[in-house]
Amino acid sequence: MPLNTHLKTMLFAILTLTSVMANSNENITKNKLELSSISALEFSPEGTLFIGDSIQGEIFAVQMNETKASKDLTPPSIDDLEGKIAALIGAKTSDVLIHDLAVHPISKNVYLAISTGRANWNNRWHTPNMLANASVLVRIKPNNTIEAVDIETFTFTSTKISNPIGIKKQYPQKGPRAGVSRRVNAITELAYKNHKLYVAGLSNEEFASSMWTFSYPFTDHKTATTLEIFHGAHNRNETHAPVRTFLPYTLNGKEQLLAAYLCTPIVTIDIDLLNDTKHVIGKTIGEIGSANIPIDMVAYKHNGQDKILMSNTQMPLMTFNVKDIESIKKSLSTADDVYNLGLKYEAMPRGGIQQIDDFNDKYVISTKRMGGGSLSLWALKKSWLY
Amino acid sequence: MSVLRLILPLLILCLAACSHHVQIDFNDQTFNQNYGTVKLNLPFDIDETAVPSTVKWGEILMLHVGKTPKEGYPAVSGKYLVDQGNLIFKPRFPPVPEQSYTVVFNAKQFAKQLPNHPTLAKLTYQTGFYIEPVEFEKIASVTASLPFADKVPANLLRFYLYFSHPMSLDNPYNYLTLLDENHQPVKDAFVELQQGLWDQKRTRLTVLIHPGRIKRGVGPNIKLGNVLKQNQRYRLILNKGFKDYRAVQMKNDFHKDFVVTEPIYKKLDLTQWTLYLPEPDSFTPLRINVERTLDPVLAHRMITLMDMSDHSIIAGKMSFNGVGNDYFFTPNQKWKSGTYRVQVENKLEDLAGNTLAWSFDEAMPQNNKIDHNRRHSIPFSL
Repeated sequence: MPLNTHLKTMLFAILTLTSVMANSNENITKNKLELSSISALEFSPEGTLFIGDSIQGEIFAVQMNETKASKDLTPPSIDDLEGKIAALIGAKTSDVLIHDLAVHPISKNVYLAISTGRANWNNRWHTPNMLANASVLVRIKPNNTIEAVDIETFTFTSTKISNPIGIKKQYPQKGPRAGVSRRVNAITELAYKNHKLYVAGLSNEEFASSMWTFSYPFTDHKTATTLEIFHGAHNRNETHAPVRTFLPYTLNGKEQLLAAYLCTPIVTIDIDLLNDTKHVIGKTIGEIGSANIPIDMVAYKHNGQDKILMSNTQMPLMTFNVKDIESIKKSLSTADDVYNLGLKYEAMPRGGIQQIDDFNDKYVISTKRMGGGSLSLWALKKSWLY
Repeated sequence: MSVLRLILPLLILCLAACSHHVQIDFNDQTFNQNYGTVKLNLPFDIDETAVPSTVKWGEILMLHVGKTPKEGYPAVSGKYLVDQGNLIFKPRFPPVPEQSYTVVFNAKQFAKQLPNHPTLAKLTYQTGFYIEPVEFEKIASVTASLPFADKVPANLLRFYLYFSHPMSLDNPYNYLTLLDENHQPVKDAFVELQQGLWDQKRTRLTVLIHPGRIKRGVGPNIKLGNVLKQNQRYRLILNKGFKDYRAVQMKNDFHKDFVVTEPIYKKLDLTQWTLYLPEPDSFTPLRINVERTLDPVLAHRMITLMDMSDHSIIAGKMSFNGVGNDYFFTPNQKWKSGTYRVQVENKLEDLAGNTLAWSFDEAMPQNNKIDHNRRHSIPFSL
């Protein structure tokens, strides 16, 4: 009986796929949420969870059905977060790797994308997605309980990013990322604003760095734009490195994307241009530091002033003043071999901060590597982030 | 006997108090699909009909990481079910090597949540186990690949890769490459089914070569051409980064080199088959010479021998030595004098997907006119 079923499946697969291939534009409808890699997480203000899956080159919009607002004003606080996740998934603490963090805007549940690939994280050029494909979604409730989310049970819609970078394109054989497929960067970060989802990553275009936009709920309205920036510290225009973190933000009354790259150029991109231009050159407004990978950005207010908080792998947690960003009128364009120019930042005395996301008016939630080596889920008070 | 063989390797752990009634079994058989499953045997059957829908099994039976459960650390996530009076826990993630685990059965909670059951002697029962490290020889590798031959037709439909261990749910196509003569990867060579096409044990992967590129006149064939070009050499590579079910990488890269011969566009034809009969009262295999190489997996399943004296299927083994087109059927019991039949299913395929009813290259018959259940037979007497 099982053999028979297997054969039927095989025949069915051949027959179906032959017809699907003949009409390659047809979307395959799925009724069970199956992920190959949880590469990036983002919530809409209404509580839809967007999951970027680099390997499948697909964005999933998942209805989490958490409509009850949390009464807890203080974020969850958990010591040895990796150890507790290890306990939950039966793994070793030293293997547990957090790929991304996002806070449900209503329930205030904290969601984490998890793999067991941390043991190989042995140099500064690695990002979590280069080490493993995250496959587990973990939920932390305001009362500090941790649970594994049974993601297959949720209703969802999905859309493909056009022309994601090929799976077989690898980093150079000699180097710290040898053997890693660049496909893991097909989706590096998601951001949502005004019913629009922005997706940063790499495409198969000549200029690989790309920004895709989608209307949500997903429709046929989508754009794909390749990006180019001037990287002052390297004295050249760059098109191959993906945006690592970004925020849609209104600057001088215009909708912009504020974006940060590896080796840390800070760039603004005019959102209007994404609509009808195939290739956009961003405005480089600052250079922050070498060999640093920016992780996350959060917009917040401090004493009435608009600020941006950014976490990093090598540089400290830092803040930018939005007024400073707005005051830079021209892109950096001249060669400079220093890694700190243009936009000024304040280094925050908060060591070991990795993932960050906005929690509420008072707090930013973060993961923080502690002195003893363990990782904590840790609240940052906005009033202290000057 | 087979039941014993199944039960013996299970770690059966008597509990600390040596209660003869409550027993916790843990399945450490890595090849078994129930690997990692915890089974709670109570001195009585759990009455499935008396289990309230609100029951919180997670407070009754818990699998913990470590030699003792740690305060503030969750138990391993998984699913519970009551089966034949026993409580079964299947962890969502298989246990990992070099790790200790502890199972705690909270009998107090059990009594509280399922009050219609007899009382147990203790309030909690606890037992531990340890998953041995993976020895090098236990690391997964490709043990065989089919077709055996190093020459395959240009319209070859599938490869089969056999693994020493059940493999992960990871997408195998992220690790599979087909290189052409110039060591360039062949684009869009396979039907990349996300989770791969596996047998039930997840030890055999079927790699489907893109049928749309094989079938002449179909869109992908016109646009991209055939995947395999006649008279060229190829190398199929599976990178060792592909992991097994325990998330352990393979021992080494696998590769298979082959040369492509001319395509086969004809249906299978039974009149071209020749039988070489064995002597009665012997175990000599029946040799079936086939016009061309068959799909190796289907050949095992779709060629059967029938004893016409009682119309029973003869138990035995079908084998193929990889050379030529001879298939050998060796019976479990000696041949007797009598009349027999070689039965061949209509849907048996050669390497290029041609069956007895249909050439893969032909247009698909409309309205399923092919009778897939039809059997052909070749009678013979000994």
